[in-house]
Amino acid sequence: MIFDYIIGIIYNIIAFIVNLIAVLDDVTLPADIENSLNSVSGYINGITTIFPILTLLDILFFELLFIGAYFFYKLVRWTYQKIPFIN
Amino acid sequence: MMLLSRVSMKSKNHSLFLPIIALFFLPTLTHASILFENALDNTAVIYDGFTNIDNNLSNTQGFSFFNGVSIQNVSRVYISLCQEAVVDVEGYHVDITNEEIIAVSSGHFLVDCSAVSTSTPLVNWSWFDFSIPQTIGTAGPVDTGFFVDFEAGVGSNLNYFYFDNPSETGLYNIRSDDEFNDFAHQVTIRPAIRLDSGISTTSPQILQQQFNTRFTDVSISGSSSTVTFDIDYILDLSEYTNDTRPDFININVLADGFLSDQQVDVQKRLILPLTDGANNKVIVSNHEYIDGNYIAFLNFWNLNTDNLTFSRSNVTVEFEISGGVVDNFTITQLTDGLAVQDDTAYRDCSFTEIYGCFVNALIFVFVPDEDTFSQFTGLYTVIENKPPFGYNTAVKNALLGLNSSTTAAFSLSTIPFQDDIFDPFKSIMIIGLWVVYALFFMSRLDKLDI
Repeated sequence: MIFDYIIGIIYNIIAFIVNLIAVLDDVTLPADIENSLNSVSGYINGITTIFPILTLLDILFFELLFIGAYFFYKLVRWTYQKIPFIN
Repeated sequence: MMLLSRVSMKSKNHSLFLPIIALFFLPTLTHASILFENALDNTAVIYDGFTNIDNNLSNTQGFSFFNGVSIQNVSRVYISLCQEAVVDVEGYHVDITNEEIIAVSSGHFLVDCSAVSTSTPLVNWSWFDFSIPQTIGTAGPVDTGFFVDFEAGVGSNLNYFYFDNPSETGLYNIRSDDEFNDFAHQVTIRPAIRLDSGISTTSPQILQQQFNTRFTDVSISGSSSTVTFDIDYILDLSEYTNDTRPDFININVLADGFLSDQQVDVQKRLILPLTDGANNKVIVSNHEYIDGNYIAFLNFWNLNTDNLTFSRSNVTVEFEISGGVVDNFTITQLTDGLAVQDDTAYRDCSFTEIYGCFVNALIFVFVPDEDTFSQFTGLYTVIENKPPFGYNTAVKNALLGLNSSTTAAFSLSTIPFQDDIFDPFKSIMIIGLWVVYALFFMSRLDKLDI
């Protein structure tokens, strides 16, 4: 019961922030980028028989995931430090 | 839980037994049949006039054996239902004279009666195993009753019901309260008693446990007339003592796949490496096909009566499929009915079990509800397309699109030595790329500002 209340408080704070963000418009990539990626995809399928280009894409994906996570960490830390009396 | 709670009911409770026995006299009879197998010549006899089986567990039905008949190790009960259904079955063997439960058995079965025949009564029948300690039959009064209970969609379509005892060589005699003397064997059609309510147990902790589920995958493909494959499966019995160990294990196998001939013969057995050196414990099995999917229910029984002493066993479930062409047969789910201790489950709370009251109080205060956490799951969905998170989603989807099966813009002609040179070289390049990236990643972690 005690943890239910504590977690409930945390949830309500996060839900409040999420609902503020939800007001913003959706993000969409420019159409040219999507077209170019579709074009690249066709060439990737052709060359993958001799070169492991899908492995490169996996590495790129993993790298972007890490960068995103690190950015999110910095964002949370920056927000946390804005709380009064916390350095 | 239900299974183990039944198992834990072996202890006596005479005071509660008598009120419950009143259910003997609550007739809910409709027309159905008993099929009784003569153990001597292995022929089956259908008995009309058996009680109906209603659609819940509140009205147990059964029959009893009259005093003096040596019924030992009643080991298998067959049922047939004229509808395809998954049913929960409970069986009780009761010493009526002494008013105590001798054995309890339960199981989960898929049944139908698509091929019911009195000449071949085992085709597409369902059964469950039910054991009685040998000493009971030889020593004590054997005015015993055997009662079964069905649940989940059975309705009144139970047509046949009989038991079989492979080790029994004598002729079974069954008492009939309604004096069905026009049959070779007398049969009881009285409603049976329900014995589970309010019976105390010597192992109440079992009631606090819940089922554990484990999964494994096995995939075979290709076409073959006979395929044999094994599933290695960890069966952990280390949590159990001799008192709490279940009488049997129910292993359910759920398989996706296609068997071209639904009449294929599927042999299944459970191989248990035991500390006494014994293994190859043949299990009772039942299987069915639903919409091309194969479902098997495997029961390994007599864990207690065999006095096994294993703790953690690597179990092999062995399948042999023959008689049809096997194509992409995948075991998608393999679960057992073993219980695991749930420390967060509420205990019994009473004057004699004051410990449970304290535990319940602590659980109430400190153990959060599952719903408390589940409410977080939908939060990210709301903002996954909103800035700044939406940029991550858009880029991720774009990169995943590169892996999709887009039609190739060009195709390379056949490359000489593709299998001998380029494929191995490609594998080496994949390893090399990951190694280089791993080194880069480690050096970057070293410089990371956290």
